Amino acid sequence: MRMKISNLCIIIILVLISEATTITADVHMSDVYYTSGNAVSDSMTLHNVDYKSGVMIFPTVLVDNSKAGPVDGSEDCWLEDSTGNDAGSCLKIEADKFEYNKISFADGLSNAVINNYKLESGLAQAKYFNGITSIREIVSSKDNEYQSCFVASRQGLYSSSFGWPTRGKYSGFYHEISMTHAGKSCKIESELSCSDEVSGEIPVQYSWDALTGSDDVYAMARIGISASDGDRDVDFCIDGESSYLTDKHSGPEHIDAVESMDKRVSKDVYMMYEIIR
Amino acid sequence: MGTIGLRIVSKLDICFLLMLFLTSCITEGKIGYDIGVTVSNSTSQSQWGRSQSTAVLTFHSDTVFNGDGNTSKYLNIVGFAGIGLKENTYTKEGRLRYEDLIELTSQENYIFIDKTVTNNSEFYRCEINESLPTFLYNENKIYYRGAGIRARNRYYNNEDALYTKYYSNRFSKTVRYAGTYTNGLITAEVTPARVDEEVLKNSATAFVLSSSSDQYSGFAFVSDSVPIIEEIYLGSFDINQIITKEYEGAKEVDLTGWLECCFSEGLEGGLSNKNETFMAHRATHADENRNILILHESDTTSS
Repeated sequence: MRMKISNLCIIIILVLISEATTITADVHMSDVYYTSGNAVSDSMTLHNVDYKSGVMIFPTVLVDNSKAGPVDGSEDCWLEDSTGNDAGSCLKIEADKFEYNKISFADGLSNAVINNYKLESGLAQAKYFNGITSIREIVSSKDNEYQSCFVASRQGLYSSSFGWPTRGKYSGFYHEISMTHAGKSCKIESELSCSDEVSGEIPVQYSWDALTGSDDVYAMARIGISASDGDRDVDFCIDGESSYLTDKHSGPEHIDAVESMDKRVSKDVYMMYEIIR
Repeated sequence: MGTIGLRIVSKLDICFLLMLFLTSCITEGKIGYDIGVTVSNSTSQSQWGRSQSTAVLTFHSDTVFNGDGNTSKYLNIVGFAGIGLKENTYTKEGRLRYEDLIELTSQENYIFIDKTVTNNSEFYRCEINESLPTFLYNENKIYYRGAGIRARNRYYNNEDALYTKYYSNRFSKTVRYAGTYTNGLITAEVTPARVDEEVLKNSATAFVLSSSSDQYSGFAFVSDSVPIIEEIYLGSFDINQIITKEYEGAKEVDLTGWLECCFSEGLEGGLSNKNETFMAHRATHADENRNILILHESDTTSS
């Protein structure tokens, strides 16, 4: 299956990038902050990335606010950030243009971390977790305006992300969500690609969104794609598999490029998994 | 805030064993940081790190032993803004009188840490502004006659450490130690080629030793892992030693949280009431926005 092969290629690329970046790291920070007996660890590695962080530690609470972005004009920019305790997150971004912001806070009993990032073309791997749920997302974006926010706390996990193409460029994406909740797991893979050949002047329109959420009992993951015809062929699909349901498939869908249009044709697909403890 | 009080009065007959551990690592209220960074490029690499922590705590211990027999004592206070002490004392059959007073107070007002990475991820800068008012006072008196005593003490205030070591059959010692750390401003700049660190802080150490030993006496003062004073006496010697060290540097954001309790009760109040000779008071320089500890030695006891 085409999607399986592309997934394998992406994983191989990510592994190679991981090996390469470990060798050429420029700044590696490994910090632990304590308040009221609670500890929050923060490990970050930067390459051609500017970074700024402010940490405030008081007897009953600590707050860590940090932001990062690539150095202007640089290529081969990436960061890896890992934060947390009982609840936490790991994020790796490799892109020439991205913005990243993280807020982490803790008191004597619990901690939480909020991550926000935007990127155009590049790879992002995110993992966020607490004692019950673990969610991993992989996004490979080509000429999109993509942004994501994910939150991890002891009470639950949450994420919301969406993207659409950068105007006038060949674009596509791969977005994967893997979720484990109370011993059950599911995985959603989505992919969209546009052809190189241009026919017409009306650009293809598409967008996608991803949503996850969990609490002590319930967890869900969803990816949706909406596409309209335009100057290129568009192919997209969503596949899903889980440890407790039969595999699901939405698509593959194909929209032909059109020279002109009287009425725009749109197709929507989505897939959602729910896990109840 | 935790408050711990301990008073032990014991008559020794044959064997007495006391072990006391006091460490912020095992308390529930640890506050602080442990940061480290590595900055590298294709040709070189530099590392820098710093740790500091404390626990909001008030600790008091007043111990008196008096009797004949074998004894062993282990004491370890660690993890309170870099201030602590450690003691190992063993005695063979003999007559021992032992008095030990410990006052420890620590609190945390704030820790601010600002980090930046610039210059293509090859320049790291960290600024730490911390206020961890901590005070430790120890007064230790030992009088021993018998088959042998081994006594080792270590007092430290961040990079400053004082060591004493004794073997003796006829032994007496009086030690008074006061260490305080108020606040610090630490700046570090790290590039692949170098590390620049500047530490400004308000802290002070005072140490008064008076001892008499008939076999072995050792004393050392070490600062930044560099021995400043090293003394060893083999034979029968009386030693009187006074060490004070004071840092004044970092301006504090807010001085309202200072340790009124310790200076009024622990030193000026408590000790002067016992007709002791060691006094201390706090002086606030309002014009410079500084808060420092000044220790006065008015009359050292000779052994």
